[in-house]
Amino acid sequence: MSPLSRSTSIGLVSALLALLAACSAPSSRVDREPVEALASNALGRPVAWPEERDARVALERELDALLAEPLEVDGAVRIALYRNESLRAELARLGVDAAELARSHTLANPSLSASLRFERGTEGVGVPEFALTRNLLDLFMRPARVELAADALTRARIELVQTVVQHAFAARDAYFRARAARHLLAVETLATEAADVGFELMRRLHDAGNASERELALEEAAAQNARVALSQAAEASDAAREALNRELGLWGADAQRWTVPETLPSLDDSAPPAANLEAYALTHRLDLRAAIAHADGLAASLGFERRWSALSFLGVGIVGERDGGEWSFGPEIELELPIFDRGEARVAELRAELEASEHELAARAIAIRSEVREAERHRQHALARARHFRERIVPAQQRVLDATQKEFNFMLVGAFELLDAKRAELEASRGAIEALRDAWLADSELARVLGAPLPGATPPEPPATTDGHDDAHAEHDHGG
Amino acid sequence: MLDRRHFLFSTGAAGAIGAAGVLGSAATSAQATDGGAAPLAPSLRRPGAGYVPVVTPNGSTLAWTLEDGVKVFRLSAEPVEREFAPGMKVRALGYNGESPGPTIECVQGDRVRILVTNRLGEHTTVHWHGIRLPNGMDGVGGLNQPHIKPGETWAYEFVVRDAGTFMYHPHADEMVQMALGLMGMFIVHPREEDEPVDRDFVLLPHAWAVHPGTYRPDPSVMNDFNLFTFNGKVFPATEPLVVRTGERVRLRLGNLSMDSHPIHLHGYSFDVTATDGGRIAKSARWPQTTVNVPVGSTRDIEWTADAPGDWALHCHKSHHTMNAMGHGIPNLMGVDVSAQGAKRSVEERLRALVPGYMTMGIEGMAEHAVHAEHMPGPPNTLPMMAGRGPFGPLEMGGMFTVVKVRDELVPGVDPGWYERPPGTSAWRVG
Repeated sequence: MSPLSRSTSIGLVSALLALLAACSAPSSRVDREPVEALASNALGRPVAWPEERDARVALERELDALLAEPLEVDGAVRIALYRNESLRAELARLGVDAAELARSHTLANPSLSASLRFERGTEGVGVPEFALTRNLLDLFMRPARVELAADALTRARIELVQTVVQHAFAARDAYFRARAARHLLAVETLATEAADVGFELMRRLHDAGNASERELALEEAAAQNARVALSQAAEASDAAREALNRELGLWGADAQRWTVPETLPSLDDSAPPAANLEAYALTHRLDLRAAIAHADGLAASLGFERRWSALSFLGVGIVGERDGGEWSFGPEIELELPIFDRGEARVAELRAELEASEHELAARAIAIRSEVREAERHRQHALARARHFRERIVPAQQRVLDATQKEFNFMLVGAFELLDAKRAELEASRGAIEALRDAWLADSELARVLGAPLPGATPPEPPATTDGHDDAHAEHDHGG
Repeated sequence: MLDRRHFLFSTGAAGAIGAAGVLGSAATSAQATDGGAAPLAPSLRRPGAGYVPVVTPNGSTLAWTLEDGVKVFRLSAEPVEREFAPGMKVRALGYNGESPGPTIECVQGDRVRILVTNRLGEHTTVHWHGIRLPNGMDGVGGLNQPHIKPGETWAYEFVVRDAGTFMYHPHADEMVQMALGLMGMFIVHPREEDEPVDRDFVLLPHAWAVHPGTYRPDPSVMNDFNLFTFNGKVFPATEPLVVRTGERVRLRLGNLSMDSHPIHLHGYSFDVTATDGGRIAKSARWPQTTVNVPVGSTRDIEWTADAPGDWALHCHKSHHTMNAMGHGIPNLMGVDVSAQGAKRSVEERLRALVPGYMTMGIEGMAEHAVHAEHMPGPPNTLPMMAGRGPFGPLEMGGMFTVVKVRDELVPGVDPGWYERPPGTSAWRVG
């Protein structure tokens, strides 16, 4: 039995009980604020998922209003953030990780051993004995475990934000594709009309006895071929619309009613290429942050493990014994004999993991730098092509059309040449639209690779109603 | 194209050539006369007898100097800018700044020396078309003489044995040099005029290929010429041939193009009195109203201008009396472009695509002359038909001019449009 006096023993027991009970679990409510902050930063626009009913209703009204007007890119991203169910699923999954964190605050349950001791000569009455022990390391490692769990939560948050960002960019890309497809369809409609009116004119010439069967057949073949191109453009437009519907999470009437403006917006390409984009990316890329958090977590674990590994062999507890009618309690120390495992393997494992994580971190950073250079060059090339189409090819084809018109005026060429020139101009427009669409996609790609909007790019002004939501959200947070 | 050798050669000879060039230029430009309207001094070989100097509408007569009894003419073959009509300037080749070059005029029996300076980028020669002369003066490069290299000046000298209407042109890279306008008329008056005239006009028709919107004749075109000039002008820039009623008129026509030109004179019957081979015996002449001027030939026609009025004179190939037109345009004659069924009219649909579209040529192309006045055409391109008369658009171009016969003439003043006596004009009856 323990040599400690009863009073001492009781004091110690109380402290131990307090220690054992030290499991102040955090609120299990999902705190979205850090996620919203990260997402806002990555997207260069305020992002918030209000939970309060009034704010949600207001938001839904706002999204409805967005769908009623020709959709702009920011509106499309907003809708995707709130209505894309896959994204909402990921957001909800954050709750799972928060629960993990809550568990990590709790100590491992102590073990209770109970025994009846039968002493020789005693008739039939056993001496009950209880021992409540727990591993001391678990106790002292608690901060480390909490930190690890917090790291995991941070990583989970970062991963979630990455998913959010991917969804936002996917919506943005789908938006530009849909808008370009609509514009291309409009161009193809004109090209088809040009071929069709050429056929009609030739039919009239044929009716008047001025054109041969061969000439008529040639025009008809051209007109019918143009219809195939029109059908393909219409299909591409339908598909692009559906792709955007998926990204926006729209269905039913909502999926039918939205429109996009008829032409692609112009892309400001006047700014010189930004400097230090690689460094910018390294400070913004979320995957890099996750990798850093992971390495930090491992480093912390290693530190704790080294300091406290001796405790892993030590158990403390309470032992209670009823001797006769009296229960007597006393502390108990349990010592594991470190004969086979002295904890060195665990330290070595952590050290190796840390080293690996550091190399992974460096590899990630190097890869990011390369990705940034590639995306930046890609953007520059795409912008240059879009500009080339806009400033050179389209004007040249317009000059061809103008010159053809002048020759037509002087009866040097006929209506068919005029239509040919118009079709060539439309062909240039088609190329210009595709080049501009690709420039927008390249612009997105660079922002995606940077982990944040291009430095210097003005983030779009949040709509006035969003401020209201932010306030409601903040209030809600304070309340929680 | 300048090759290296050529370049070196030119540079080496620059001193001598430069001096000759400058002198030649000064001499020729100072002596050029305007339009040949001012009579030259009578032939020195026939003092006192005189001749009626030729008039080259829109052109000039080449002046000469007398050196030791030789009439010395100076020709400079060079790039020229020729305005075919307001709105179109052609980067041609010519002599002494003109295309066609100035008319050389002399008298049968004259000894002439013609100094030819080459200011072209390639060699040239001059052939005196139709003139009987020593073989070494005939000007066929490589056959009768070495070519005249750029920068060189060569002399041709001979006694003109025959009176008549002749021409001059290069016989070196002929196809290019003539396509670009190097040519001129060479008129030799007889010592004694058997059939004197009061007015003696010179017209050299030519066919050009200046693609719409361009400035330089295309020497590779062999058939599809699109501009047709009298003395380097298209109607309405062609100067009228002004004549007093009752005068005897001679018109000398040449042809160095690749197509014949049946020249038709309204209001008269005329005689073809000469070819570049000489005068035609009176008994052999046909009265005609159209004289076909074959390729590489000249024709003189003569008539008495006893009918006052504004009389058209033109090539009778109708595409020669118009300017450039597309030969591949769809034939819209009689085509119905109105709306059929539910669709808009073809015209409306075309206008929706190309706002400048306008249907032309359904009933004819006369409307074009009016349209062209307010619709822009390609740069440096003339409408296919133009010109306005007292009754509206003339719808002409190219080889068209007017012989203006008037009872009274004020020298140097355009007589304007003819005022027909009452009762002598067509009238509307329905």
